[in-house]
Amino acid sequence: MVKIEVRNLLMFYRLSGKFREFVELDKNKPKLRDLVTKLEELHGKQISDALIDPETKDIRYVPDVKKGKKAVRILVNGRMAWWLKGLDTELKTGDVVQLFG
Amino acid sequence: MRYAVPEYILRIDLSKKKIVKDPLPEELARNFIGGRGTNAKILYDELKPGVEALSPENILVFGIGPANGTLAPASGRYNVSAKSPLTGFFGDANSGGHWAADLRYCGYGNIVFYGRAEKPVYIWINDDQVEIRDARHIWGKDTWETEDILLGELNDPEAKVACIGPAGENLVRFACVMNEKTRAAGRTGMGAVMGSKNLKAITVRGTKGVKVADIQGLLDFREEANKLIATDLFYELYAKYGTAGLMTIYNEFGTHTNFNSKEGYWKGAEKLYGEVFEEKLTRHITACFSCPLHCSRFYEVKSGPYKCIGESCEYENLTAYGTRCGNDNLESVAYASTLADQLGMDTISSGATIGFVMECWEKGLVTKKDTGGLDFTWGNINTIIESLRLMAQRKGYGNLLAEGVKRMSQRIKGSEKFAIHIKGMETPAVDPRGVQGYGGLGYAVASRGGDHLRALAALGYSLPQRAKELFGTDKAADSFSTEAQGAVVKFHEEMRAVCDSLDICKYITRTALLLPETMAQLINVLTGWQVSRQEVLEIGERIVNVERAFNVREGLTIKDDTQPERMLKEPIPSGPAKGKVVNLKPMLQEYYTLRGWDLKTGYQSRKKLVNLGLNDIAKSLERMGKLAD
Repeated sequence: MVKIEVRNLLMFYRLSGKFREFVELDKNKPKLRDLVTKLEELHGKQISDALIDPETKDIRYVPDVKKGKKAVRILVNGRMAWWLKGLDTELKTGDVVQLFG
Repeated sequence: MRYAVPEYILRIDLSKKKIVKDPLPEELARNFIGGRGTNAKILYDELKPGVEALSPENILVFGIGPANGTLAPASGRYNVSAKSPLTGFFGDANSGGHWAADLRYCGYGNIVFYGRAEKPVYIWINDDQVEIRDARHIWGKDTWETEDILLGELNDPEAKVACIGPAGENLVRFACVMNEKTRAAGRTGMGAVMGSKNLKAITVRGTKGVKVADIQGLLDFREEANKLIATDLFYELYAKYGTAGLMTIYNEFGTHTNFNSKEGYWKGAEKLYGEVFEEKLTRHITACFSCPLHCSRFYEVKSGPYKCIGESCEYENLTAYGTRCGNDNLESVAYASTLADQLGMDTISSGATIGFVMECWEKGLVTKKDTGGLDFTWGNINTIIESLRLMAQRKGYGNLLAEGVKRMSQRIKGSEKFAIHIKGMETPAVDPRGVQGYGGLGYAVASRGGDHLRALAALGYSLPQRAKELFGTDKAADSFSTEAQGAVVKFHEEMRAVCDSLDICKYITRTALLLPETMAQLINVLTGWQVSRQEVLEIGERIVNVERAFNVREGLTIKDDTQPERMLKEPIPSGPAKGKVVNLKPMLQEYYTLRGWDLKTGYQSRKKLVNLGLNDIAKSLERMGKLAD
């Protein structure tokens, strides 16, 4: 069991209704993609739809101008996941994950 | 046929009470576009080197560009430039609202002020009619009172007012020019230059149109721009939360100014986040001329000691009177922000000066004996508010506060290490230690001193793939990396110079519209010039080099392109950017090399200036012995 602090910033505050929440993940070595799945369970598909590009199956680093989908970022302890291992970034208890868009 | 470029330069000699309307040369517009670019060239050509900034010999220039008054997105900006009383170098400030559009509808691209009026005056520009009017009855009034009185007097609710408040009249070194009550041309003390000329206000009302070269092209550009803007990473931040949303992200990144830059992250800052501001204080959303981003907020504190209304309590204001001073009381920050607008004072510099004294107080370098009884303990709200009033009037300790951080630190022994300014101008809200290119190099080389808007190197964060394509390495997009940051900052400086000269907003061009091919498209539909991507970059580089030459002429060397000692030597103590300092040297070397500036002196090379068509500037610097080979 790993306990993560999630900060839903700006757009994600609007989508989740919570600025800060603590999320428990039932795995020994969960990854960022497991957290996204858990957040979808908690707040609905609108969260994962905003976070993940269905074509690349990666974080929406790039906007989809035609579909009107804006770019977003996920940070782990203040560092953009782009510089870590993206959705494969491992999480541990005490990590702070910030969703920004 | 000439399109979009304003027709005239208005020259007003306040000493001689003489008004001259000159044609705005096509060549000046082609080489410098307008706004900041033409202001810089006019100042270089007409201002004598070495004049005292608050003397009648200084020249004050207002400028707008070919985008103003059109459907170009966020085309409500203007620039005001002069030699700065804060830095002694190139002074320049930029503001939004609707004042610029009205000036454009009068047909003027620049207004150049010379001399000093014998008694306080204001200017009334009503299409072709230009008058110098008596302003003795509004001297001493704050900016809101001034606007109300003038609009009543002119009997035209559509007229627009740009004016100074008590801070400008009293020559506070960071006094600003305010238009439409809450829009500030904030930085480098342009309000003090206005005050030194006994010039209280410039009121404008224009009714003429603007002819653009390709109307359908402009409509198509606007439609595509709106789509790009609405899907940009920062869209919701600005559109829903205003710039207060930046408080959220930069504190979360751990690279935000707290306690005079002692900390990069502070939990107390959460009380000032955009989400909180939106829920507690926002009453409705407002926007500048032709802006689809609408980042302004009308706010209200309904009751209590900080009861107030206002507009545009920006990220910088929340930092200045909030986190920078260890104050997490949102309502008090909103109150201080409104007060600064009314007094006509730059929020960044005034807040930074108070924060600096608070650290002096903490270290025992300043006591009540020095401050006339004011208690500068961190977070003392009453002191923050009273300090603003005193500095605007230059009363008591306010007379020293009105000088800014650099001059204060020269008088307070032992404070130099935490005097947070560059070239004499207080630095903005983002802590440069966590953003090496954006802040570390960008602030250090900015022509107007400690400033984020000359470069605003944000492309890498928003479009990392594009940054890799442009600069050849994905490290260009890494805020902790120094790799390729010289190229990143140079590119952004050139594009920001073009935006400021068009004159459109940097937030609209923060990322989505920043690219030179996009700006070329906009320039071409407006003017019909058919400039290329490369020519856009060259225009930007030309403007940057004129400002550099101005500063070199005033005594700038490479030693001035630096950071405060704290940023270079003291690591951020906690948070996501823990352990970071600005690693300036390698970035500065790369930047100078790309710019063609001498690494020992900071002087420009003849070759670079000649290549940019600045032969006249090369000759003048050569005569002064300030030209590199």
